[in-house]
Amino acid sequence: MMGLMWFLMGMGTTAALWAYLSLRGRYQLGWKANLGLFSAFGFAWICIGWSWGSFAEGEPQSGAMGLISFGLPALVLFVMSWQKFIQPNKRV
Amino acid sequence: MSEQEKQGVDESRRQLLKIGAGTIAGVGVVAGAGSWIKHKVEGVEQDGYPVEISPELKPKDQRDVLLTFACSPALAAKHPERNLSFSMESAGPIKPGEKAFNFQQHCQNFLTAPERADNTKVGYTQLDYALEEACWEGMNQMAPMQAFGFPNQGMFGWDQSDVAHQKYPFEDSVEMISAIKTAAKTFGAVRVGICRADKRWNYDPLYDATQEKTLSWEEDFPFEPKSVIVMLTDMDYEAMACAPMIPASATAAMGYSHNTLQAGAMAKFLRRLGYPAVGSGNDLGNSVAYAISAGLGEGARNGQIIAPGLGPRVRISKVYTNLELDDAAYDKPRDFGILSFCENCKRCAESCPGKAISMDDKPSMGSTLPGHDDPDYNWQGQPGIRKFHNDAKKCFKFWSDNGGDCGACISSCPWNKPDFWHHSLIDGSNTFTGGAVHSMMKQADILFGYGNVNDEKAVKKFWRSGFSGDFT
Repeated sequence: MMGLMWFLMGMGTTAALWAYLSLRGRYQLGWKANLGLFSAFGFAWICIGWSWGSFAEGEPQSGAMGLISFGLPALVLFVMSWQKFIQPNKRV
Repeated sequence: MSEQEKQGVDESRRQLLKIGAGTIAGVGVVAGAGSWIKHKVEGVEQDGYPVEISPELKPKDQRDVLLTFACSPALAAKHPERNLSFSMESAGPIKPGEKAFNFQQHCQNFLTAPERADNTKVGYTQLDYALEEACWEGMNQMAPMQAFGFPNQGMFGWDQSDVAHQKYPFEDSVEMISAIKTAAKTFGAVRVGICRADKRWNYDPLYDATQEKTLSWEEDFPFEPKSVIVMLTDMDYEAMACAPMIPASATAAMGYSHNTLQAGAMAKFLRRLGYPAVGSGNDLGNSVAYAISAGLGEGARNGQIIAPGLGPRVRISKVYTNLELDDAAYDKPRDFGILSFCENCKRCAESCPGKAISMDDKPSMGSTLPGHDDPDYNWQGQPGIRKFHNDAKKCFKFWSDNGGDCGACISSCPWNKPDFWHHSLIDGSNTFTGGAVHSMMKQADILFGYGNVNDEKAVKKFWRSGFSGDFT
């Protein structure tokens, strides 16, 4: 169960890197945009790892709290970075 | 090359240099921080015993150990005041009109609890007690009553007639400790450490309640111990989560059966290598102090050892031997930041149904609980060590009332977690943070749903936890 999680997270990390490179090719990403995206990725990574781990160990409350505590900030950071620092910038 | 082209090349070189310097600085900072964190997480080695010890500290007389006293009619007759000073009603110093708690009667009550199994009471059914009794069976066969501190029992016997005539020719201490630790792994221990034998942590005199007589290290024990091998065995997380209900007692019992086998096997291993050795569980000396000395963890608020990655969900066994290592080869006590966490946490004390655990902010040299200054009341205490001093009498009273040996202070501890990466992350961060962060971690532990006690759902979950048949 945890082995599958690490495999999927490895795939997810590769996909996120690919998406980032693709985004960088289309938009000018300033340091604020980079910081926002990096933080959002970090929170999302912990969210998946924490919640999956918690459900796997049979602690659903911890899993749910993981989704709220790490998943929500990841979402907010990504949307904020997109709206404030990425979208308004010129396409390359 | 034109002037403009030259300037372009210089600019690129400067950029490359900047990126290179930045990368080197970044790698340096990350490596430095990583090595500092690793150093803290693995525990900072201490020169001596890691907490203050009064020069007046005396070895503990085993006749003052609660479980020994509770099993001994002769000690009850010798110390009638002990059965008159602890209140049955208020579980504290007796007040006029209150009934006194009799330790020997309640020990019997505790030992016969399985006869009062109640199939309508979750966690106290015949199923739960049958498991507990089955888990004790290993220890009962191999070293009966070692958990109550009885010395010279079964596999922990003092007979040295099987010591090999020739000592195995170890090349050096490194080969010796490697062999001992590998053997411990083979016996199923989860951690092992080796420290020097320390008279401060040995019961002296020892007391054999089966014969109602004191024993001395000099005249009765078969050799002078030089080293003590300390092993930890872990207990089942799901069973311990049922505390104070009986599945928690069952996994504790299994811990004793495992540690009897491990220490008994280690003693035999050493004897066959030509070194006198005696295995030990709760007998002979203070297991927690020896585990701290062997660098296996830190003494916690609940009076137990907290081992990083395992928390207090462990049982300790010891092997006394006259094998001696070079000074540098012994394990050293380590500071993992656990006692500092305990100062800010108090979760075990809040969860303790017997209110036996200190709520003090800082460790002290003696008990601060009510009645601590009355020697007729606080007879089982051992002042002279800076730690959280608890009241074992209150704990034992709850065992008797409960019909099982509780474990609420283990299951509620934020360090008690199963082996999952996110817990290792939090445990690791707790070793180098402090104060408000530790308080926050305790609150987060509650919010995330860990450490509940008296949780009937945990019992149902425990009895389903083996259904798949795959425990890897």
